[in-house]
Amino acid sequence: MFKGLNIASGGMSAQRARLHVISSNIANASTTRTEDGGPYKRQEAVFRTTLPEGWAEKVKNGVPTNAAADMSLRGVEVSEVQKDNVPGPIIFDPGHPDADENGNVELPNVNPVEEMVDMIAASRSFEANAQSFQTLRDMITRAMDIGR
Amino acid sequence: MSIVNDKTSAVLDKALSLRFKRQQLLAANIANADTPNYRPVDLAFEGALKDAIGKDGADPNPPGFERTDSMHMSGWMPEPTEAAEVVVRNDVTNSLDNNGVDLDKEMAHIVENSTSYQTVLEVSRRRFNILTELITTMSQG
Repeated sequence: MFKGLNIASGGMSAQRARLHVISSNIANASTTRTEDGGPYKRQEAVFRTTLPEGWAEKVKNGVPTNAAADMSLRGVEVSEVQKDNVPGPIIFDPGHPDADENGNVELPNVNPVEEMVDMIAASRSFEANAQSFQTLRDMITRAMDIGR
Repeated sequence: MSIVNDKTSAVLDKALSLRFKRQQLLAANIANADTPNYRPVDLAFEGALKDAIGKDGADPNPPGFERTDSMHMSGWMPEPTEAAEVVVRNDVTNSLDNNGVDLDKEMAHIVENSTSYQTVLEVSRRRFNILTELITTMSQG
């Protein structure tokens, strides 16, 4: 009964994780120094579907044929946070502490406008999951009230 | 078959559980609205119900029901055993990452489905009220 609620809350956590990555990108939009050396590289959360609880084992042992309905109840999770290694813009600024011998500085490959758009998309998706959670919860609550 | 366990209850139960199942599938679609290569899933039970209605061209009225006017509603009731299949919706591909979820459509489905669920629930509730009324009246003699 609560599978749907778990899926919706999983969707909310995934979108929240995506928002965290976006915040990190925006915060580091002009960071030219990282522990790996070089400027900050923008990161992206990559989503993947999850199997329903306990299904990983079942899949390993061969799935029963009547289980298509349960198998389709897939949640979502962040599988990895991927680095975008596209080179950032290079500007000429000899006074910059991270400038090379020619006076060029490579800036992070973060485009704040793109990040803002991505942020809005993530928060809309979060809201959609929240709405779906609430609708399911209402359905369950109403069903509880049936005998009153 | 008894007064509390008849075909109507069976149909209502089935309708509730199918609607609930569908709501969970729709929740999975919304959760995966940004997952690459995800295809939305749905229950095809409305189609199944329609198929069942049109199956025999003969009078679909159960025994005991008689329509005295063609405008009257039929007393037909679907078999509660009607199976609902989980289908993958392959109709839309609107994104570069091959994700087929249209968030607006999914939200519309969610509202439509939960409204239907609550309608069936309300019918069940009123049915129970009638039964309760009946039992109390009988016990009062």
